[in-house]
Amino acid sequence: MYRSAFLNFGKNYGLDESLLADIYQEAFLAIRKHAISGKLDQVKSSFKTYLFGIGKYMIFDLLKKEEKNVSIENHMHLIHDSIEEIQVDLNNELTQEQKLLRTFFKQLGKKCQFVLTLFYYRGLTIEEIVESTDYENANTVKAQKSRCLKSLKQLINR
Amino acid sequence: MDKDKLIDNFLKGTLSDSERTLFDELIANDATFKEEVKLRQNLQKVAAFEDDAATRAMLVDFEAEHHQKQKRVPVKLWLVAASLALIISITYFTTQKSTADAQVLFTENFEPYRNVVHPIVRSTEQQDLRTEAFNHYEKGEYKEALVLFEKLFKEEKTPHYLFYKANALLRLNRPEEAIVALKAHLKTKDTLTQKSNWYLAMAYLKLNDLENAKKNLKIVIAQNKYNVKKAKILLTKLD
Repeated sequence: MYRSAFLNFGKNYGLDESLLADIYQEAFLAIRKHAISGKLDQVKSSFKTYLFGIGKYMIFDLLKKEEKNVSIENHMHLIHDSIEEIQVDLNNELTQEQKLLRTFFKQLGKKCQFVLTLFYYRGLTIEEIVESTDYENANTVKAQKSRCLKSLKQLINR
Repeated sequence: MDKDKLIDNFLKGTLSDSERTLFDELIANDATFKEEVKLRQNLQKVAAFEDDAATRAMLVDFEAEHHQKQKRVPVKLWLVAASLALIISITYFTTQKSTADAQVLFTENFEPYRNVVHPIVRSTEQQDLRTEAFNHYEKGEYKEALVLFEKLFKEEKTPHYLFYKANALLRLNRPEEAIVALKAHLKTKDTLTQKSNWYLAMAYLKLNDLENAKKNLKIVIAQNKYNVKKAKILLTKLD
C-alpha cells in the first residue's frame, strides 16, 4: 500500500531503495502499534499522510544518526513536501531484565504466548478474547491466562 | 477487588480513583505486589516485542514476494539473449577486476566478531586457558588465539569456539579452513549460530566465490536478525 509512492518520496532525501524499504516496513509497524495503543483514534489525517509523516520522522532520524544533517539542512529548502513529521517512539530495545524474561516467554507453549499477547499487548478484554478465539467462555480464558502466568513464573524461578 | 485484577486494570490504564488509591498503597507497602507489577509490565513489553517481530517477519515476506513479482515481468526472448551475451562478455572482461573488488568488499565488511562469551576482567589473578585465548583474540594475536581455541574445543566441545576459531582463521587469510569451522558451527545451536552465515559469506567473498557469498547473504537477510542492512547493501554491490 503506497509502497512505490513512499519510495519515491524518500528518494528525495538521498536514501537508497533498500533502506527506504526497511523504513517503509518500520513505519507500517509503528502505525500498527499506534492502532493497538488506541492513538489512531485521535488521528484526523488520511492513512497515507500518517504513513508518510511517520516515515519522514524515521528518515530524519536516520539521517541525523548518519550525521548527514548538516548537508541535509542546506538542501532542505529544495525539498518541497507538505508532509508533517509525526513523532514515534523509536526505542524498542529491551532492558537486560526484559531480555531474560523474553527467553522464558518463548519457552511457553504457543497458546500461552498468544493469550498473554492478546491480553497484555493488544489490550483485548477476556470477553474479546473469547470472541476472537475458540475458547469456550470467559472462565476458560481466565483459567488459561493464570495458568500461563504461573508457568512463566515457574520458568523464572527454576 | 483482587490484586490480580487490580494490576491488570493498572496496565490497561483503567483504574478508578478508589482503585488507584489502593494500588498506590500496595505498591508502597507490599513488596510481593510491587514485584508482580514489575513482572507484568515487563511481560507487556516482551509480548509487544515478540508480536512486532512476527509482524515484521511477515512484512519481510511480502517484500520478498514483491521483488519476485517484479522479476517475473515478461521480456522478449531476443532481449534475454542479448543481455546474456552482454553479461557473458562483461564477466569475461571483468573477472580480474571483480577479484579485486571482492577483496575490497571483504576488507570493508569483515571485522572479527567481538568476544561476548568470555569477558576479560582486568587484574584477574586466574589466567586460565579461556582467558588466555580470548586475551590473544582481543589483542589481535590470532595465531596464538587459534591454537588455544582448537585446544579448548577439543576439551570442552562448546560450539562457540568453532565460531571464534573461524574468525581468527579469516583474519589469518585462511578462508577454506574458516568455512569448515563455520559449517560445523552451523550444525550446532548457540547464541552465535545466527551470525555464522554472515561470516560464511565473508569467507566465500575472500575466496572470490561470489555465488556462495550471495547465497549466504540471502540467508542472513531471510533470518532478519544479524547484519541484515549490511548484507542487503553488500548484496546489491555484488549483483
